[in-house]
Amino acid sequence: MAETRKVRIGYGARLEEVEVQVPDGEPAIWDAATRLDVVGTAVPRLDGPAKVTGRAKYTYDVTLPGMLFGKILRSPHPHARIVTIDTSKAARLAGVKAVITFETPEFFAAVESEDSGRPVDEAAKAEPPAGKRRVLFAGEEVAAVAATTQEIAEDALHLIEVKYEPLPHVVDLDEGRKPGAPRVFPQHDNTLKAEVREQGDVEAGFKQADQVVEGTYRTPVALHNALEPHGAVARWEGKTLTVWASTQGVFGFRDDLAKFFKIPPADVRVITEYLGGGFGAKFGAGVVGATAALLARRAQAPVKLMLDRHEENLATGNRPSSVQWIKVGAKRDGTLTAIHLKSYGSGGIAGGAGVSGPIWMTYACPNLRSEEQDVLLNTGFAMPFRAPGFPQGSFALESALDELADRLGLDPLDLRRKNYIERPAKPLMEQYALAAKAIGWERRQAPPAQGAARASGKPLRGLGMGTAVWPVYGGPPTEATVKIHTDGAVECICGTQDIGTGTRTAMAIVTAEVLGLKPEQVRVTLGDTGTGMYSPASGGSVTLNSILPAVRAAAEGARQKYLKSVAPALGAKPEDLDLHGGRVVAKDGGKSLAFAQGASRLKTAVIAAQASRAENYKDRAAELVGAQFAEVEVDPETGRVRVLKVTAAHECGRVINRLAAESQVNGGVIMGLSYALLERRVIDSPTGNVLNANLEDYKVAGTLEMPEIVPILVEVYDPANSIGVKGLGEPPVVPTAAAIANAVSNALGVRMTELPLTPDRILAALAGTKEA
Amino acid sequence: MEQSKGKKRKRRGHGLTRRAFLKGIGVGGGALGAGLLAAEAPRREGAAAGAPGTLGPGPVQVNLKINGQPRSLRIEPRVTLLDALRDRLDLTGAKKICDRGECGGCAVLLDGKPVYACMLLAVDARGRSITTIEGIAPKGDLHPLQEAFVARDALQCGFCTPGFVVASKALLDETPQPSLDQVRQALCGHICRCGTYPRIFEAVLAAAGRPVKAGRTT
Amino acid sequence: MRPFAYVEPDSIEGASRLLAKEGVRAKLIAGGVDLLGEMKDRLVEPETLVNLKSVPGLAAIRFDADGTLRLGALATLASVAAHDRLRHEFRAIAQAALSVGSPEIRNVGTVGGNLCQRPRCWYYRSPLHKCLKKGGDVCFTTTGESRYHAVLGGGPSFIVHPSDLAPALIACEARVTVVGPGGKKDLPLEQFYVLPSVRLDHETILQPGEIVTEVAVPPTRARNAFLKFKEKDSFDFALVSVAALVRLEGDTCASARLVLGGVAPIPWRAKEAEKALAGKVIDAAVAARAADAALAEALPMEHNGYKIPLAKALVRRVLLHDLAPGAPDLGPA
Repeated sequence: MAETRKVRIGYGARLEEVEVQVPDGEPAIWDAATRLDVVGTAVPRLDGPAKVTGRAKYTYDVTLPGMLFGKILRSPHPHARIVTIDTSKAARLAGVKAVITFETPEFFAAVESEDSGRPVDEAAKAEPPAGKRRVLFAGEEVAAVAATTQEIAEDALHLIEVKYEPLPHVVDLDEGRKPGAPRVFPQHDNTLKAEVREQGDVEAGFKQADQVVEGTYRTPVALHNALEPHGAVARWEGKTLTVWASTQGVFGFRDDLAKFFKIPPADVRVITEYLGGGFGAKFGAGVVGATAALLARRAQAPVKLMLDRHEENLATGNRPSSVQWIKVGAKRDGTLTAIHLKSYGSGGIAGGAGVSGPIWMTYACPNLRSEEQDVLLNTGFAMPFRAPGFPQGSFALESALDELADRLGLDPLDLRRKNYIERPAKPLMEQYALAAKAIGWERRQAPPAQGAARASGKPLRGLGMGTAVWPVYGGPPTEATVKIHTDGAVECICGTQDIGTGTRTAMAIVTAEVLGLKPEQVRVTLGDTGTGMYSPASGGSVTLNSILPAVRAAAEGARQKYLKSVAPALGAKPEDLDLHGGRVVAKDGGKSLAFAQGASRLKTAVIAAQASRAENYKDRAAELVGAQFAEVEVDPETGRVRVLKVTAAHECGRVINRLAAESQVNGGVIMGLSYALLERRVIDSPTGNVLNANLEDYKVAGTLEMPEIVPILVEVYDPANSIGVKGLGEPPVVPTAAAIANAVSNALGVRMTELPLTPDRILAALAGTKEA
Repeated sequence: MEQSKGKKRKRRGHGLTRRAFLKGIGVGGGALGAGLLAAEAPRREGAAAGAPGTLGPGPVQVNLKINGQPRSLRIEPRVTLLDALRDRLDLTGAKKICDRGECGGCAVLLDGKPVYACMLLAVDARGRSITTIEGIAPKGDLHPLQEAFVARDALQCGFCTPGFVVASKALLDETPQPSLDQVRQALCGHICRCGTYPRIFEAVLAAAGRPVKAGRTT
Repeated sequence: MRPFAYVEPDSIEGASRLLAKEGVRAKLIAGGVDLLGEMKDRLVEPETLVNLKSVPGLAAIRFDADGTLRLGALATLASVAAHDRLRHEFRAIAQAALSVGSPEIRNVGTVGGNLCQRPRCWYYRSPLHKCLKKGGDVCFTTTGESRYHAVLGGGPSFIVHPSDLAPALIACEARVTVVGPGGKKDLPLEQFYVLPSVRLDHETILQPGEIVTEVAVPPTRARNAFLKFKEKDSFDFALVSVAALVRLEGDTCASARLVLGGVAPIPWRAKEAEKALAGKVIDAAVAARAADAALAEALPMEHNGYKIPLAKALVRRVLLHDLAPGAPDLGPA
């Protein structure tokens, strides 16, 4: 069932009218012609006061009567067989209420489950049963305890005696690929079959090229380091389980636990009122969620199990490493003829090291080929990390394009424009223009001749850029409810979680828009599967475009019911009334009533409307694009790179909250900057242990690394849903490292091929040596 | 570099065997658990107990002055101020993020100066005036600095926010009109993973009556 | 952290007696930032903590009538960095104190604690790696990850000493007072530190029961400065730091003291560089010769060769820029 409607799409003055097929019952589509009062303004977060006063209760802050503290014992070995485990001393320690080990079948199952981040791999499943368990990376779970205080739980861990039989291990990416390297899974090589994708004929494409560049680019393993660690507080009441969880997907977390304990999902309630970040590493219940609930069941008391920073950096996910060989051919005028990418990388014991997204989506090129391989190693597993695969792929692609532009004597921006892919309502050309102007791109000079930069000894300036692209995901199912009470109180309810992006406030904004109120007049309930209002996990830039159409539909439903109830009092028909400025008003300018006054006429204590997210409209809003430009200063004597300024032009479809949207752009740029300059997991090869599983040596950018950041939002109307919102979380982190690396290469006259751009690498590049 | 090319000194320990490393990580021969265990030597924890001027090792009475109120609790001397606040007094505004004095999430004011509560024993806070994030604003109200944080969207997930507010409060108490560079320096011991720094700078400067757009000063 | 008894002596002698009696089973706590980190990672597991803060009179910063600067062991780094006269006369010391960690660290961290802090080496800090410094027989850096390790004075351990204050104080000819079971002694701070080839279990000469009580810095009119380079500007330890003190006669350098941090297991006095400066007018060429001399004996490991050109650059910079009369303001404390 569908109907055809006309909508105005585009951005700025570039608007056009198109027809879209929309599901029956959709409200009027908010398109380019729609003027809105609240949506798109700058609204301070509704939960701001709770967060700035410390009143906001995150999972880590939950305390229940009689609550115990859980802790996990982890393997010090990157690869070993567990011979024996003796927990008798720990169990006897006063205050210890539960001890489970890999010999506890359910704990073993939790660690071995696919939900724990392990690869979906037949070889992994063919492992011998409990009792002869192998540990596959340093940091893997071996046992867990619950005790009356944190201190006792920690003491108990140290009383557990485990006898390991160490097995050969491999943690280094290139070592892991060698024939004869120790195997992570005995049944097959560490290097998995290449994923090959081809369009056109790259060899023919290179033959047509006037200029070809090729290079090998490397990126490190990066760690999410959301500030709130993974963890949960679990409480059983009979056969029902309530879990406060630090998760970016309450429903997925619930379903994992239901499956794990073989109970109906309705018997599990997962609550995440406030969440201290996730960035992709907090989707399912994982080992932490299952272990908290297992300990709680054993101890017959609520258990809080929060990981510490060290554990967080060993066993909760990472962005895989990559080695990317890329070859790009182009005509003299810059027209791309072929791109060939061969890459490998490691997400530890899991896959997920693909990086080819950007070459397939960013620029027009008739001949493309990508060959990507996962290499298994005895290290912690990968999890999605903000725009998975894209920051890595963008670094190699954009670097190669800059090199190509320099060789062809073209402006790197012109090269990108030359290979632009035209799509309806695509704002990229506008974004290029705005961000280039904001940085002063016309000041860019050709890179200095090799050796010249070093000789001068003076600080060197450089400019660079990159393009962001990310597919638009999101859609049904999502449910939401809007309620109006007789005192005029308005509630908006959806199970979704606010990962830190301002979801709570966005829900209030849309509800307020429909009901003619202010956002602060809407009470929002989220982060609770108990609401019954399903929503997807917050990842992949899907949250607002999945939930807000459902919220709007629910608000429209509540509005209709409200107007119907109030109409008699105003002597009007419901369709002749409007909600505006906190009042219900007759459209002809006649009578009006304050919203709450109107609500007092409701015939029931509360009116409620529940609605579901409709299907996406066909052919609209396929991707998100953006452009970033960076200016850097490099000290050639010390190798210090300072990012002076980043201009970042992005889009999110219709802007919901200008403040929060700009904050997201800033945040993506900063995370990208940190990845470009500082971040890398360091593993000691002989012992297979992470050396910097902390925030001292795993370096995250702080206040003194901050450049001036100019977020630029181009509002785009291309509705695939009734609101026209598309998403924003991932794109701002995609091109930052590439833009900064290009700026550094532009400053030095030497192509930087490995992240992070630390002083040792800069000095080595200037000295013409590979390693410092 | 040139130096590194020609003369690489032979290092002691080159060619170490796998066995040596295993021994090194305290797990040689598959005998022990986690090297951690190896250190589990016999102890006499009560050695100094009972001597004059001695507290613990068991739970002891500790009196603290927190947000102007006297608070009394029974804890072991090994309990940090952060764990005392969070686990014993339900003052959970200060966050446990790194537990090693690396991130600023647990900052509180000790006699008006910011410190990391995770790297301070609760017993070392006796006799000092402790102000936590819960004590920054008058009851039920917001401090102007907190208002500025909200108005400027100087928070995203909010987990680092209490630490930033506490440290910013200390800065403004001592330097009511800070420059942008002073703000950066004062907050350099705090990490925000969502990347909210520019707006935090704006909020602090705005609260100080210097609402400038936060760019690089140099 | 394991449980411990917390003892509060009221005199330095009392503290010393207790520490001497308990040996390795007891630890002295001042600011505690370094010690608590070690205890949380169970690198040390004292049964008794002796609180130095209960001993009165150790937190003062004062000047004698002759201009000698006296820093009590418990003076906080923040108070050192904020002291007006100290900032004026001992710029290097104030700069070094200000460069430590973050305001939160400086509000708690003490002079004594900074001088006695243990290495930041990631193998040393790992509870799993029983390295040479912890009684094992391997320095894991030799086949492992050495990017933050020593290029000078290393072997058999290749840690670097993490103190920022020590190079500055040594450049300024500081002496340190140590009280122990055998009474009080006073020695040049430079001699307080020992190479791993001499002693592996600690970086200083301190024996059980010995406590640093004071650092004294003789008056000087010589220009002095400290420069620290970090991989991350916000809150990091030094990759390399350089402290310099230069006595000028007219335009000529009569004598100089140059001490490097972050490059060696102890604060590294660059005596050959000092010789290269003596009797010279410090220009770019002389500074470059001094820089080369300072690093002449350097031997890189697999990943830390970059420290050599970096240290040279910093030596040149401190001599030509930071010691110059027009050097930039210290900034707020």
